[in-house]
Amino acid sequence: MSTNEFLLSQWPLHWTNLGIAALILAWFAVRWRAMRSGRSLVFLVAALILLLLALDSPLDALADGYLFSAHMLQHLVLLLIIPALLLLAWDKAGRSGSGGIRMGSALSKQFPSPQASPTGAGVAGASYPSKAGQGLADSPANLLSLPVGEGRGKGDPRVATILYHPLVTWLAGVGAMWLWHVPTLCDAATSSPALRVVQTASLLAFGCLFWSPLLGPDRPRRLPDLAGVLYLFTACVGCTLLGIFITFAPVSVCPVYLHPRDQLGILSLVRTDWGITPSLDQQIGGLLMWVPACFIYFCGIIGLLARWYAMPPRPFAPGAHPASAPSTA
Amino acid sequence: MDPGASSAGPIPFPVQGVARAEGRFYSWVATVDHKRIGVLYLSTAAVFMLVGGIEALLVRLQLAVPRNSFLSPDLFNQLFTMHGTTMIFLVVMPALVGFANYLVPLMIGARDMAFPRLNALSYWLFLFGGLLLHFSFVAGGAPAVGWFSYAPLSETPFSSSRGVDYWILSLLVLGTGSIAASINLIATILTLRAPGLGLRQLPLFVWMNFVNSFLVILALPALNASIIMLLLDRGLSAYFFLPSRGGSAILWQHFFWAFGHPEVYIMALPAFGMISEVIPVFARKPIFGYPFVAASTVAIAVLSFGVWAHHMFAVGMGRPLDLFFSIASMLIAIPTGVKIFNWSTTLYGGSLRLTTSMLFALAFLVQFTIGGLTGIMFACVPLDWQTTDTYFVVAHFHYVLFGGTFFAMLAATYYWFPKMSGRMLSERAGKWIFWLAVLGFNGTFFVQHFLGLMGMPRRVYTYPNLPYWGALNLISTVSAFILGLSVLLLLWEIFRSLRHGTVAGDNPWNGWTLEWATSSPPPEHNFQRLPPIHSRRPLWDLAHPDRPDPVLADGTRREHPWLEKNFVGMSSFILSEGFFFVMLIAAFVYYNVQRHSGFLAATTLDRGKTGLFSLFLFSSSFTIWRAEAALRRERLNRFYGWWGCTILLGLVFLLGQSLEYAGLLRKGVAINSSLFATTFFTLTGFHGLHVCLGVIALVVVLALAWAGDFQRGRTEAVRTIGLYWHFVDVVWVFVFTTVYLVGPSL
Repeated sequence: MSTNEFLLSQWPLHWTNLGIAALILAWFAVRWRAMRSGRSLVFLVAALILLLLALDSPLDALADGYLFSAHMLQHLVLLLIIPALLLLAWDKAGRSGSGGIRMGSALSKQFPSPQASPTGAGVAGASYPSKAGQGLADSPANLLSLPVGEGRGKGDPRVATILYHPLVTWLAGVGAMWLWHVPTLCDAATSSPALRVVQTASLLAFGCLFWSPLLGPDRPRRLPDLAGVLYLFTACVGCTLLGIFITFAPVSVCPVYLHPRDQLGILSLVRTDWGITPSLDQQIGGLLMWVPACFIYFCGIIGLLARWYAMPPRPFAPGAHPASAPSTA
Repeated sequence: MDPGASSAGPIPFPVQGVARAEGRFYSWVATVDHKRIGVLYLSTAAVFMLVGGIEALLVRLQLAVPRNSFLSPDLFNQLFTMHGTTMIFLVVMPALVGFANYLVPLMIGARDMAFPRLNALSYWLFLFGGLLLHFSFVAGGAPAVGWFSYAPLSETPFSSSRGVDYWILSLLVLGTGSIAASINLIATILTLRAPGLGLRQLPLFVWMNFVNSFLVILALPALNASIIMLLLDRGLSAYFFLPSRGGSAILWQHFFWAFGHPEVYIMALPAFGMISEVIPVFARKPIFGYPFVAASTVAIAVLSFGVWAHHMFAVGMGRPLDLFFSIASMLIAIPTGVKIFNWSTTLYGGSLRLTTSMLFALAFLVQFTIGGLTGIMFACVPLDWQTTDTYFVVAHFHYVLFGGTFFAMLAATYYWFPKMSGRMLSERAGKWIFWLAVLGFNGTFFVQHFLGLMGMPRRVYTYPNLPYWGALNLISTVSAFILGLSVLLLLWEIFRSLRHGTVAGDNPWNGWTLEWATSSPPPEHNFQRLPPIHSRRPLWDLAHPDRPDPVLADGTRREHPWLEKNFVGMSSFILSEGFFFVMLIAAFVYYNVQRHSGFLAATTLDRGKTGLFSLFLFSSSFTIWRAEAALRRERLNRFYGWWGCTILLGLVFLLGQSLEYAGLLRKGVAINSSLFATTFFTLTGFHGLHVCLGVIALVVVLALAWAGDFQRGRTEAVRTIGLYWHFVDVVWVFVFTTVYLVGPSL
């Protein structure tokens, strides 16, 4: 099989992948009235196209036992790019219509601080619960609690609060990366189609969790933008470390890729025509996780900074704090 | 004291030291005033600059003509090593810290730095670190291995004199001082800003120092970890970097450049900040695209951690690595270019005042751009292969560091000298100094581009008489002396102006930022009163009430326990320490994957026993949490109980670790017996050291409690030390998992 033949032939359109796409589409269709906007549509369409490109294309054929690097590319798209696009599409839904007002009032109800001004959703990203009275953190959990809003989910609010805690979402995003590259799990997910579906779904779900403190529709729950920069930077470090390990490890992270079962008859194409040996393959995979993955986080950081600088200032009230200069000592 | 008070009210300030000080000399030694410490930093850096400059001139003299025998090869090696190390660690970094120390509190309207005594400690660490480094000259020879000390050259078999040991120890001292200074800056900027001054309004110099401080606390641990490993190699016969016994010299390069590349930006970002203050004031325009200049700083800082391998293209890392790092390195040119465009656009259409300060800033723009462009050339792998280790590299980084950073510091000197001394530097002498510096600098280093392209290697003590080499080198040497002359003139001019300069007044340049709102030099408490702050240029608003800048200040001041200065300081410290352990764990993993010789994790470690005494450590996190809760409810006896428990649990853990070490040593497993043992003892030993420090801190807090400190409500120490203790436990989770759970099966 030549490269061209291979690239043209491998577009299988599996029913599971179409199913996932249809589910996403249905989820958005129900909310379409609230989120009707051009940008939202662009993000949604981009997400769906990327989903099909990642799962029903020659890339998937290569990831299916031939190339670890192809698997890594798929992994990055599913975990980092598609969830971010979906949340960006969904975000628009929260802002238009009555959403903004509802969130604004919820915010001022939850934080009846003396300075609470009638804030709109625009400043929600920077809201802190007022805990100034508490000098000490009363528990390790509180010590780690980031300045985000309290839960107001429909289900058990405590579950939602824990689930959306930045530490948990950070672990979900970075952990998914590490977990699926434990050699046994990586092998199993590559060889068993059922486990692959689980893997795909979990990557999408963990990805959504990971991005939710930054892009989630529940604006009061979002991290302050600068804290978000640190959130993304540390995540970048987390995946860089794994990328470095995979790049330089003398052992195979996913031994299945050492001796592919050549179902499509393209092994000689990959090994001789493209010249990708197993060790080169793993090196490229590790580098993909190291450099381009961090570039995605980097883009997120730039986006957060843009959002932060674009945020309107809160109305200035000269009497809100002791106005004297701090230096009259 | 509640955390709110620390950020809003007057800063508690340990004035006793100053009040007691009587003699003028003693008052400088005992000072904790950020302005005096800033001046100390700057003047000490100036002295070291003379030393480093003389070292450079000696090197240039040796290279002035072909086949010269002015210096012996070994002395030549010592001189260029000391020149590089001195200029980077004893001149540029401390001078930048000195400027930040003096100016950041003034620019944010604060009384002093967040931790004045820590600030003094940082300075004294710098001074004695520098003296320690130069002491090597009389203690058997200075290091002669280049400023990046590549292994195995820096290992005992190849550098048997004490020079490298002095280099390591002084860099450890200097690195500790830099990290302390950066933690101080972060805490100051986050918690001591004047009311109305939000983070989005910070003067760019402050913002860039803020971002830069994160770079310092994250990058320097990489250096500390690697030089500690080198020290263990040299002192205890470990062999991290000795290939002859299975270590990896390449790992030294990776570790060093993981620090070394961010270091380039550590030396550049504050300089960018200076330029961003000087250019708008002398162009009489606000900076063009503030958010772009500020955000591109963050972009540079983040990217700088991901491109170190471009220093290693010539090592032979393989094509994929070269390719990825080539692209990543080119990316970093984008945010830097954004800055150049913004500064140029700020100039465009402005009414320029070509003061000496502005001239230096303009020269910075041109020279830094040249250095940046040759930097992009190095990102192209084939070009890098051709020019690596030639004078082209020397020309490149001198254009960045001298033509860029150093010129920015000269611009800053001319700009802020009136504020620091109350007197102006002479503009007429300034023009002479400027043109001599430009001529000397470009004459010295521009020709080195050609020498490099002709193939002249760097770090050779002499060279054959090839066509043009002699002439170009002679031009370079003569120009270097012109450059030296301009530096001497500058120092003389500073001394002259301190006594005889014209009086400056509060705001001689019509600046817009807060430091110009107080007298020159500022009083010890900095401000009598602050102007109202609503925008990025409070003094402009004050002078032009009819057309003020857009209001940016948030109407409310946010108080949050996360923004308490002790908490911020400790969190930054933990971030830094976390990176230190990441390096140690990375080294452990690197040396234990599929290496089967000598003692191994699987055969030597007793997982169960260590697991047992780990439980003691983990449970101490619980007891310290209970202690904090008891103190909050003001139950002091219960607090003593839980706190004492924590100390005991920590001691039990240390006892367990000692027993484990004793058992291993009895079996003959020592740090020099296998790569596993080398990495194992380093990693667990450093964790144990941290536990020891933690226990000492816990005991100190207990003593404070006994002395009645907490009845007066001063409980920050408990929260801060508690945080540190939790960190030590969390590190052990990772160490235990790596070494005991995963390690044996690697």
